[in-house]
Amino acid sequence: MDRVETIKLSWEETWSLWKDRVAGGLVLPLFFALVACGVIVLLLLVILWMTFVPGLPTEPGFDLSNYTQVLGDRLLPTVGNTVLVGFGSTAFALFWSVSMAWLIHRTDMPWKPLLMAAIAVSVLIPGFMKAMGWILLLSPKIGLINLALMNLLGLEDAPLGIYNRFGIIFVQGLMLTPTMFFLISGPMRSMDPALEESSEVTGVNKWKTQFYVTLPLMWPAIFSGAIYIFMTAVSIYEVPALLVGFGKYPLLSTAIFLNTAGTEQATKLPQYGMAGVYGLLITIPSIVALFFYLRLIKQSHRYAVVTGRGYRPKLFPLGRLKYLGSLFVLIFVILAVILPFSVLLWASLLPSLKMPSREALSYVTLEYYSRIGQIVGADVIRNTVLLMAVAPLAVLFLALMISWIVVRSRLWGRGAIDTITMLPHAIPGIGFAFALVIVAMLTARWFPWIPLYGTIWVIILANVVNRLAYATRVTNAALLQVSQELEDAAAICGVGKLRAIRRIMVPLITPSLLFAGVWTTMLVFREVSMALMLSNPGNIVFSVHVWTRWQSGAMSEAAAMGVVMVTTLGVIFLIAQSVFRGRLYGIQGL
Amino acid sequence: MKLSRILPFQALKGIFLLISLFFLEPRLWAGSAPERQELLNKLVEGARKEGELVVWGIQGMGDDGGRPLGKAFNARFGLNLRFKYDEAGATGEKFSRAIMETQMGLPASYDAMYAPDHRIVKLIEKGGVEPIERWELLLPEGVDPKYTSPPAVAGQGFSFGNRVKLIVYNSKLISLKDLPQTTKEVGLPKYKGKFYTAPWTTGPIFGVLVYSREEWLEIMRGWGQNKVTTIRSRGGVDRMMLGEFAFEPFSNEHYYFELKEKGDPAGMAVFKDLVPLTYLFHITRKNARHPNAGKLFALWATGPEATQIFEKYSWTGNIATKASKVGSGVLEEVAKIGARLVSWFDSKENLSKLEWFGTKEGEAYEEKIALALKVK
Repeated sequence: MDRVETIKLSWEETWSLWKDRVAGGLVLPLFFALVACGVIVLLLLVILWMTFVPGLPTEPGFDLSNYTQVLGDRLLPTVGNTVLVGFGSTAFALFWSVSMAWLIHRTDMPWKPLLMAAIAVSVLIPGFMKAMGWILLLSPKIGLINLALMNLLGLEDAPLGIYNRFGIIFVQGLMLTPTMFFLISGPMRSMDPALEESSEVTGVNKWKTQFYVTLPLMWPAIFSGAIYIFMTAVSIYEVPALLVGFGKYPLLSTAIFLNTAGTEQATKLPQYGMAGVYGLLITIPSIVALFFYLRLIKQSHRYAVVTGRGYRPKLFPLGRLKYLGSLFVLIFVILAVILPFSVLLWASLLPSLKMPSREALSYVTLEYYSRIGQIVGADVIRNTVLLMAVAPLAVLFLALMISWIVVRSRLWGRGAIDTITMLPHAIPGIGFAFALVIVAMLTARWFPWIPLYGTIWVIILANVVNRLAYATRVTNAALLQVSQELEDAAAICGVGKLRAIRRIMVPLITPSLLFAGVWTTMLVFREVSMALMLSNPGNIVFSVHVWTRWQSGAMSEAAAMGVVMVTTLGVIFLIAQSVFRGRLYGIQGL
Repeated sequence: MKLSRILPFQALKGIFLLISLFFLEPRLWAGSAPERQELLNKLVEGARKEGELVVWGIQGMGDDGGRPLGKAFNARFGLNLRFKYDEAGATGEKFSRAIMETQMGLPASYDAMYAPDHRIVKLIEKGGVEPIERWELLLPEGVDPKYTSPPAVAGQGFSFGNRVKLIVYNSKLISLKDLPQTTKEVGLPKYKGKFYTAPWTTGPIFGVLVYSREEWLEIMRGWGQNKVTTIRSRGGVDRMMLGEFAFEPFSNEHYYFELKEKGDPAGMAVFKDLVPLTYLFHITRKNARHPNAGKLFALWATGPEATQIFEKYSWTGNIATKASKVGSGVLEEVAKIGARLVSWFDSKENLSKLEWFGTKEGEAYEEKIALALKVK
């Protein structure tokens, strides 16, 4: 009893102790990191459990039939094609994105804001529309480029093909380049030129410096981005579904689609268990890559470029080559933005997609634009606004908490937290969405007062879980680049950890957070597969609305909505750029 | 005095017909007009109290189709319900959730749901459908109860339209006379590289109604060998109209009508040996939040008033009513060449074949069909 009394603390003392612990900088971030990881692990367990359930989760049965069926279902070619498409698309996206990020952020190339806005809005053009655009251009039978080349060179057969694995790599590579570009923009922009200057002082020429100093410093950001892009590339199904269909080149993503939304056997219900097994197969290479990534960031001090010593970002002078640099980016913009956007615009003016011709011009109308107001209800707008406002904020907050633990602490198991955070991206969103349906249904049954099942909150939760992987890549990279010495300096001055985060770290990485917020908002706005799976009459969002219209044959309306969406967000992006004066992409100098 | 002298012959004939109708027509036999009115009033008053109706409906309607549908429904019964028409999502996913909601005892997300014939049987089997009592009395005037709610789904599913599987083609690339006449001919070498197939078996499983299983599988292998690719119908018809494919063998008639309206070079033809006819039903969900409104809608949607709205916005035809131009157009096409329309509800034997697809053996066979169509 005496002993108890001796350790009894007053309220002020308890608060002070708690503050110290919180000020230790770990309790709060750890709490939120564990909550986020808890939700992810719960959903993963549901998916894992589903892989052993032969039918619906509410029905009896627990066996290995999903695994045996997947193993017998042309698995080798499916995995082989998936790996080829995954690596090919990633390599293609890396080539463009690293080159363009360097040109835009590290050189004195002209027309940067405009080109960056063009790259940004390209992500909003729906994937199916991009694929259709390239079919119009490169189809061996009707492709405009092929027809022109055949006429010009007097060929009998089309010289270019798009209905193969390389066609998928080409279109997906173009689609994924903007994402990769923005992933590495922050780190690229915040590079301390002192390191490059030191290299030059030792007599190394400017170009070699870029190759041997700048590029290696970017390695963690490029590597983590590449993992993200690979995972995305192997999960996309609409491009392969349109370009090669479902038979010739089976892929894991199309197999998942066939087992869920597009059940190929009419009398069968979707086989979520089999989709889960395919999802796990996609996860394996991602986990291997994550292992190497985590090893890399263990040596994070080697990549810290923002230190306590001040620096001023310096641009690499391209001289006469600067217009060539702009041309390089412009070529990408033409391939990835202008051409697909033209198809979107063209489709929005016609009752159905037609090859450009004099006859087709006679069908041109603006009717589909005038109908947008009538076909998008107030509910859809309200749900979409709520989704775009809440999901990115929650994602940013959780990402910062998780990255703090992963990058800034020496806690045991921090690597596991980072791996868990990345897993939602490895498993196709549709798998997570189905797991969420089950969890939400159980919640509705046991805790009916929690508004989850059938509400917009379940879609928000799905997006938060799914986008954490992306946001933590940005926040990890940003924190990796801020040297520990800044916190040490704050500690010496008697500033607690929490205050140091708020007053020193957050301002330093605000541009990266802003960028992650803007980008997450755009990705959340565009996301359709999870929202479709979780849709109920009360939670329809804009992307589901557009997708449903396209599926219903109203391609013109869907395209008109797409044009309005891309133009509006493009203008918002340009305004945001001028307001933030370019701070959207990286850490500003001290 | 002879009766014929008192009443003219025509009047006698009329009386005879009325008496015959009374005994032969189940609706007249089963109940009287006041009874019908009473039952209807009960549903209408129930719906009025519920104040809302949430429907998961056929794709293609959109908000611009959903609004007039709700307006006509409300006007018909003097109601002012908040009408929500949702067409988002794949059918399989929606049915999985409907079954899970039923099995977990949760309130249904939708009051009334659209259900194609290959899905409805499973939902009924799992207890997800609320039957409507005395439904024969409540159907709109002129609707045939036997067709609208066939024995296997009687009182639970109410057909509001059909989908007919037929050839949709690009008339600029192939002429009507050059198209395959039978399903077998699709496998001929001359059709190699001319068409695509959809990645699902909704149409192909009908083959067992006309051919032996082995024979049909062989036909499907022929299709699989000759097809250019396997892609979703929506993307497929777009590419077909752009000039990449000549035809899709088991397409849906609504694509033809939709494309024609948009000025595309679309044509429609049927196979002589097999024209699959699918039924599209509405069901009322067990545990629906607004069951009376759901039932009233499912019944009303079978009538000509709703048919015209469905047809206008989603090209969904109904072969049972002349009010449907799409339905009449398809029937005309079928009659022209003396083809066979076949459905799962034509006979008990046909229905048992649909049920057979739910067995292990049936599933394995369907998988073989899917594989035959997919493999290049």
